[in-house]
Amino acid sequence: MSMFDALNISASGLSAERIRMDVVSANLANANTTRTLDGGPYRRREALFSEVAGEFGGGVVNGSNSGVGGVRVASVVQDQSPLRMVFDPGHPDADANGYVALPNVNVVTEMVDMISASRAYEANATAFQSAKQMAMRALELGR
Amino acid sequence: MIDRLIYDNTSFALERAASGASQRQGVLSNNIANVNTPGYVRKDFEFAEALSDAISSSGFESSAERSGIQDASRSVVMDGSTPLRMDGSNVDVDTEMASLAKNTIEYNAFIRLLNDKIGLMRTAIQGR
Repeated sequence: MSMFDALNISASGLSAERIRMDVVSANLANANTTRTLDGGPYRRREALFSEVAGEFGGGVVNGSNSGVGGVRVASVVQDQSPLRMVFDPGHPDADANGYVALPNVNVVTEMVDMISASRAYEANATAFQSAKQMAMRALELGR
Repeated sequence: MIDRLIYDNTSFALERAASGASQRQGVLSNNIANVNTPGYVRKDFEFAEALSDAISSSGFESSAERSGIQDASRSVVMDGSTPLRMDGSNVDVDTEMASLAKNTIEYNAFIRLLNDKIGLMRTAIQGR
């Protein structure tokens, strides 16, 4: 394990939480979007985190990973839960029965995700700070 | 002789302890980075027990015993003892932050002791 591994691991956590925050922002911004590039209404997106196997600690042995290497966003997936149907016959995107399919974005869920991402970001920033302080202390050895 | 003077048992134990604390920092950072990863099992780096066992059993007089301590103090363990969350992960961010703070203080203590040790040597060399 090199001196900067702790810093790199915390940095991976910071960037993953930032991506989650971006996804939450996109969901909130598109909460009422009925026209997307793929056609049809916007579907809520979600960032999937996966652990990165590191060499330190043995890595992956017999399918069980004891190495530490941080975290990454494996993919951003679309939420396939049903869309919100709202009766609005005047809407240009309404179907034959007068219903408009609105995005399956729930503002409360997004807010909870946002707070969770922001707290996790803070935790990673604190871990980064302590690791940095430890490295600085080591530089003072023998002074 | 000079080797024993500069690199004595106390310095060696302190160096191993500081190195262990530094590696544990990485493992704890990894737990915090993966706090939102579903199914992640928290890990810990247990060097303190291994190091104290090795010190009390051997007293690390020879270089072979010293390298034994080096091996004994290297183990990342999966810790499934804490309760699982809904998403299958068992990381508790409060516990991790507390361990992290404690580990940082321990590391700083080791470094300070090592520094004092070097200071003693410096005093002996300069004779004042």
